[in-house]
Parts: sequence; C-alpha cells; structure tokens
Amino acid sequence: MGLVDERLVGKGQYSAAVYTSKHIAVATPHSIAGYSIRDGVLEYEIATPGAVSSLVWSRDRGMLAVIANGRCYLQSVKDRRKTFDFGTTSANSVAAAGQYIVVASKRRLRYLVPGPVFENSLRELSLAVSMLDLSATGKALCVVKNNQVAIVDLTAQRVLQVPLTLPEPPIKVACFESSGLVISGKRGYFLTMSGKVVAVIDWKDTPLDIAPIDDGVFGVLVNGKLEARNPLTGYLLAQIDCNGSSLAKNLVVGSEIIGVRFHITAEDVLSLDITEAVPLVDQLPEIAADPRIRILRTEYADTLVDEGEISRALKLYTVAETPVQQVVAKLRPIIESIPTEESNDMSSVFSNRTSRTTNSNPTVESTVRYLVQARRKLFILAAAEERPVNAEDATAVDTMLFLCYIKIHSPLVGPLVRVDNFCDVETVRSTLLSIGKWKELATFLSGKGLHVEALELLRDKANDPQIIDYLVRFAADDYDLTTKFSRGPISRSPQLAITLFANSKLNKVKLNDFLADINESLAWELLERWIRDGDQTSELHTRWAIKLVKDESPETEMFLRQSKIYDAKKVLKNVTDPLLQAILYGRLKKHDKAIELYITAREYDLCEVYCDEIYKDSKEEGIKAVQTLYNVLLETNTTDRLISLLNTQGTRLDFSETLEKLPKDLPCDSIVPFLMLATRRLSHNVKTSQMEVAASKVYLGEQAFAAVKAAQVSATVTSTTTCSVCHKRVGKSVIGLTDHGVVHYGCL
Amino acid sequence: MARKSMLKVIILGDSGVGKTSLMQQYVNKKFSTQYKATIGADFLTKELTLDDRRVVMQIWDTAGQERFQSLGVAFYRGADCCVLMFDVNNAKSFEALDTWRDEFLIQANPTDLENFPFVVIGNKIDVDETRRAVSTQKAQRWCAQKGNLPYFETSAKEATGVNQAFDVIGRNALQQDDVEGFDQEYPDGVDFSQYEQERSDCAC
Repeated sequence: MGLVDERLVGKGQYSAAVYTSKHIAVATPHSIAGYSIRDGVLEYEIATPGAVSSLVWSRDRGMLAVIANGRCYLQSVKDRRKTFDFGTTSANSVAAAGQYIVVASKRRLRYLVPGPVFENSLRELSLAVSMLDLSATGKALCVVKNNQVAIVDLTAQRVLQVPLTLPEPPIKVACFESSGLVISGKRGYFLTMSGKVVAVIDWKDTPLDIAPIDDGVFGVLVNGKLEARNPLTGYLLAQIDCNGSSLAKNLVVGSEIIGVRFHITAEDVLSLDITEAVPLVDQLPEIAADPRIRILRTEYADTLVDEGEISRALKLYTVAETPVQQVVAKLRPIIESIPTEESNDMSSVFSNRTSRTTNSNPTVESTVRYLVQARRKLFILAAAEERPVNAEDATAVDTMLFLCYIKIHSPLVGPLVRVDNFCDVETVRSTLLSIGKWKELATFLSGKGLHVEALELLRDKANDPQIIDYLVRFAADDYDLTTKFSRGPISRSPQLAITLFANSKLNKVKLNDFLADINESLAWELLERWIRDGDQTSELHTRWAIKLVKDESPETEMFLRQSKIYDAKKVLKNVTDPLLQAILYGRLKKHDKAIELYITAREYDLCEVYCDEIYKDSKEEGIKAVQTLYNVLLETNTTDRLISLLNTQGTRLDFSETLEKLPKDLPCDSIVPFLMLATRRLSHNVKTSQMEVAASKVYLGEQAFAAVKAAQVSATVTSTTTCSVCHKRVGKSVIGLTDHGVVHYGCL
Repeated sequence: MARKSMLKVIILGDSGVGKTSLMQQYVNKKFSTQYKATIGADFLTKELTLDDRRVVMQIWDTAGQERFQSLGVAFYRGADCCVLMFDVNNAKSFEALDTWRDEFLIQANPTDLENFPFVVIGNKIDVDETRRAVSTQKAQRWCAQKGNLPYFETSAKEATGVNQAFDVIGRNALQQDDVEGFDQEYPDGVDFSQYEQERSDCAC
C-alpha cells in the first residue's frame, strides 16, 4: 500500500492544476495551459481574465470550471469560444460532480443542474457559503455562516445541518459520495454525507490543502507530506514527502506539478485492523470481489450484528455476497428473541382478508427487506441458469421471512403460506400451533401436499363447511382422503355432500357406495344428479334403472328407453312388467322375446314402432322382426293389428310367404294398401330386371364390336420398318401394334 | 392549483390478459391486435386532473409470463395502486389473481395491508359472450371477499370502461400517495427556509 509520485510538468508559477481527459490543465498567472498527459507537450493555452484561484474539471460536461478574479465560468478546452459565465464577481470556490457544477460566492450557492447548459439551468440558494465541495450524488458539503457545516442535497433541495462548529480558520472541505472531510485549523473532521462525524484527527501543523485522491482516499497536504487517509475512519494509510501548496485530485500543485497515485491491494487491506479495512473496501470496488475480502466483510458484518447494527450488517452481507444460509443462521437467534406481536386474525385459505395490525421493529424490518431481496435473487438465478431453485437457500430465506412476519407483520403470513414457498415445515408447524394460527397452518400444509395432516388439523379445529371446502379445493382427486375426512361432516350435514361430490371426478360408483353407507337417500339424490348432468357410467345407470323399477317410478319406462348404457340383464332380473321386460329384451337384442312381450302387454303400436326402429338399424334384423311380429299376430289371432302391420310394414315381408299365411277369412279390401304396395314392388322388380337384361345386351354388343375391330388391325413389316418409339429397325424382333404403328415388344 | 403528484400504478396479471393493450389504450388511445410479449417491465405516464389536482400517473406494465421474482423489489416499492388484471374468457387468469395479490404483498410489503388500494379489471369483454369463462358475479364475489376491491370490466380493444377504471385507479392511488407521503420525508432534514435570505439582497 502506498502513494506513488511522478513529476509531470516543468517548474513554474502554478496556482492550480487538474487532470482533464487527455491533458493536465495548469493555471499559470494569466492563462490555463494544457500539457499532454502522454508526453508533457504543451498543446493549448487559454487566456484567463486574471489569476486563477480554482480550477475544476467536469468530466460529464467536458469543460473546465474556472475561478479567476472572483469570476466563475465554464471553459471548453476544445472550443475556446465556448464558455458559460455563472455571473459571480466574488466566487471563492467551485466544485463539480456528474453534471452538477456548484459555485460558492459570498453567501450564495449558485449551481448548474444536470442537462444542457442554459441560463435557466442555473439555480441559486442563499446560504452564506464560504467553502464547498460536491459529491457525485449532488450533495454539496459547505461551510456556512458562523463556521457551521451543512450538507446541501441539491436533488432533494434540502439542507442538513451537521452538528459541528469549526473552531478556527483556515477551513477547507472535500467529499466523496458518502463521506466528507472538513479541516479547521490543525483539526480534521471525517464525516458521513448523512452528517455524522466519524473521526477527528489533530495534526501538528495546519494542513495546506485537502482533496480526494484516486477513488477512495482523502489526501491531506501537511508538513511537507502528502497523507492518504481512510475517508470513513481518518486512518493514515500511507504518506510521501511532497512539497506543494495545493492539492487537486491526484495532483500536488506547487512550483511543480506532481501526479500521485494511491495503490492498495487486497493484501494491504487484509493487513489492516478490520474496523479500518472494511470501510476502506467500500471505496475500492476493484478488490471487493476477492474472496478473502468477502470473508473479511462478512466477519465485520457479524460484528455489526453482535453490536445490534442489523441494517448496516445486512447491507454489508449483501455487498459481500455472504451465503444467505450463513446470514440467516446469524440472525435467527436475534429474530427469535424478539417478542411476537399480539395475536391477529390473520388471513388464510378460508379468509383472504388481511388484518391491518403490524408492529414496527427496525431489526425485523431490515431483515425482511434483505430476505425479500434474497428470495428474488434465488429465483432469478435459478431461472437464468435453467435449474431448480436452491432448496436449502430458499428454505433458509423463506423460513426466516416467516419468522419475521410472525414477529411484526403477521398479516403477511397469509400471503406467504399461500404462494409457493420453501418454509421449513417443522418451524412453521410448531410456530403456528403455538400461537393458535391453525387456519394458516392448514393453508401451509396444503401447499406442501400434507393434506392428511391439514385435514386432521381441520377435523379438530374447523367447522364442517371448512373441511368440505378444503377437500373440494385441495383433495378433490384423492378418494381415500376425501371419503375419510368427509364422512363426519356429511353425516352431520348431508347437503355438504352435494358441494363436495356434485362435480367430483372421483370414481362415482365407489362414491355412491360410500354415500349409501352414510345416507341412502343422499346417495340416490347425488346419483340422479350425476346422471342428469350427463354422467356415462354404466353401473350408475344400471343402479338408477333398478331403483326406478323397484320404486315403480313413472319415469322408469322413459329412462329405460333413453339410457343406452345400463346393464339390461341386471335390470331385467328386477322387472316383472311385460312392457318394461319388452324394452329390456329389445336392448338385449332378443327381438322375438321382446315382440312377444309387447303383444302380451297389448302394446301393438309400440311393437310396430319397435320393429320399425330395428329395421332402421339393420334391414335384415328389421325384416326378421316384422316377420316375427306377423307370425305372432297370426297366432294370437289379432286381425286388426295384422291388417295394420301389413298396411304399414307389409312391404318388408316376403310377399308370397305372407300371402300364403294370410287367414282365409281376411277381407281383401282391408289389405288393399298392402296389396298395392306389394304389386308396385313386384312391378318395380320386373322393370329393374328388364333394364338389367337390356343393359347386358348393350354391353355384349360393345364387346363383340371391339373384338371385330381388334381382329382387323394389321401392319406390314419390311426390312426398313423402324420402331416408332426407339426409331431402330424392327428387324426380326417381336413386335407390337399401337395407334402409332409398329414398336418393339420391349418398347411397349 | 395544488402541487403535482406522481402516482405509481402497477398492473399485474397473467400473460396475454391485455395489460399492455389496456395501458396503451388509456395513454395513447391505440390498440393493436398483434400480441407482443412484454419483456421485464415498462411504463407510460399520463397527466390528468383529479378534483382540481394535477397528477402524473406512472403506469407500470409488467411481463406476465414470469412471476414476481423477475422484477426487483424496487419496482414495487412506492407503488400507490396495484391493478390486478385477468381475461374474462380465461378462467385460469382469474384464478391466478390470488397469487398475484399475495406475491405483490410480499414483495411490496406495504405498511397498511388492508387499506392498500387494489383495483381488479376483467378485460376482453368484447369477445363473444359464449366464450366467457368468468361471470361478472363471480369476479365481484372475489373482490368482495378481498375487502370490496373495485371491479371493472373493460375492453382495451373497443376502449370500453378503460377511462372509468383508470379514474378510480387514479383517485385511489392519490389517496394512498397522500398517506405514504409522510414516510418519505427526510427525518433529519433541516428546513431550507432557515438558511434562505431575501433574494433581493445583493450577495455577490
């Protein structure tokens, strides 16, 4: 660790100097001279309105901020005509950070806000400012009237008064983004940019100047030396002999310009006391990734936890990328020792409302913020690397988050247990049980698939509708679980079965058995509902059919006709009514028996309809059925029905056989429609036959003509005859004859 | 006219429910039938006047394809209103509202859970009624269970109900903004006025 110096520019009368992008800009008595950093050659010289007292480079604007003779202005080094005047006549200090440029002029603070440089980009405050410096975040560290120190937040337009009165002049200030240094006489105050004084250093001599050097160290020019000090502790990190009168960033300015660099390595940091080392690392991002530095930071964060500075510790754990499990293990005893908030009616699976009561505890609040962030990172990493979330890390985070919510923010336990989470089951179980939060526990267990445990809990704590609600939502596809835990509620409140099973996807036959065991009428009620809702389970239809038959329900016949999936054989065993038997035999395709039963039941019309339906399904079967019906009617001597059948479906009968069987006493005029239809059918058959004969004759004629034509085809083959395909001589090859002439047989 | 407030509104919901379309319809009066998945998060702003108060509504549109974990905690911090959105023709998108709400609460960690303003929007009501999967009554029941959350049915395509929904979103966000405003003060700040002097004085 140490400072390295390098003489950059030749001797001269210099009042200020600053690095720009490619040059060192040096203030001579009447100009600003730009020397090339590479070779020290003078590349430009810009006249100034007087002696330059302050020179600042605004990298973001690419311009120099100059104070000469009390006048402050911006000067472009590329285009000398490009300037912008702050309109001051007594400026005593100027500072730049980002696009902010701030000038202190007597009691005023005049500053340029980020954006284009225009007159109306200027803002002004009256603060009685005597000296200032500006941090990268737009916070100006100022000495104001009565030697008070103030931090002006230009972004938020607020002034923070530092509880510090400077004892004596001369006074100088310098700052980084998060730390500042104020020199008053021989004393130096190191402070944070939130206004807290963190260290006080007394020198033997008065420091000539101070400035931030490199990215993380304050330089103090004192007693012929340049000291490098830790901005957060004031600790002296290194020093070199150096004659100079003022100090710009990385430049000591006197009769010559010296460039300085501060080199610090991870080893340097590790050699320091931990309280010095860790704040220093904050300023040195290039060494922060070193694993040893991470360990160092983690150790320091552990110390902060022990000292109760949880928020700071968590920030440090975050930047050190300390494994979350390690952080959680460190914090858990602290969180567990915090008293739990008063019991609230927390949200759960049964009530999604969230209660408003929350406690406030900075330790837990900080931890919650850390955990939520860690949780998000775990999921992002897993998604980015296309792998599952690290379960151990996620368990540590979610369980701790749960404990934090229990402590101060119990309404959030509901959302946490409802979403996908990795909370440790045992911790959640014991915690929620101990404080009587059984609803949340049931929700949590359901999310983990621990339905048996959840339901056992609900059986002890919840009411019947709550148990049924749980089963509907989380266990709808588990027959054993559903039946086990619904038996009690359904026994007490049968209608809950409708809620639970009306749209169930479970095996309904088993469910029907289960319900019948509890409440038979309920079982039938649900069975009927399922069938009406379109269930197509054969066994259920069979059971319902038998039930209707036994009850002699007026709906029986309709059901037996409409349902196509019941087991007719089983139903038949319970049926004595011939009509119903006829329907069932029909379903069994025992048509003869069915027809016989229809006739027994004297349901002639239905029987005819039945025969007609069979015919529509199968012509062959239909003809047989009509024939059977005809024969039965002949045997039963039901002349009227016989006539009706002949006149409606007679054409489906064999004509000659039917006529032969006709009763002798049957009046011919009663079956005129049948006879006419039969005659018409016979005529149709005759005509069809005649047409077929004629068509066959035509075909035969055509074939004969083709044969004659084929016999007449001939060709003369000579020694010069060529194949019309390959155009070679035919010679003595086997040939064929085509429409195009002679061809080789092989070319066909 | 009072000071101008910045209201942060976050729209959450499953992929394809029309979050981007709704935002575009409200802010730019535009609708595109082409679906283009949102990557990460994006926002549009709209200036409006609510009860004589000028407000700028910053409407954050999120990628519904991914879950909350893809969005930073900072994204939710400072939200003044959260819009939970679903497609009335997609039952799954409605069922996901619970999870969106829970995840939001965990990530945003609002101080007063019960009174944090959520607004629920059922979008795509222009689609054929026969394809509707979530009835108005069902959505209203859900909203009632969650503490009488305001519910609106919209068509981003036909600009139906959009302005009415955002009017309520704006008002609720404004109320939340007023409540949260006190927490955002710097506790250690010193009032500027004690340092300020009359501008007419010559200080140069």
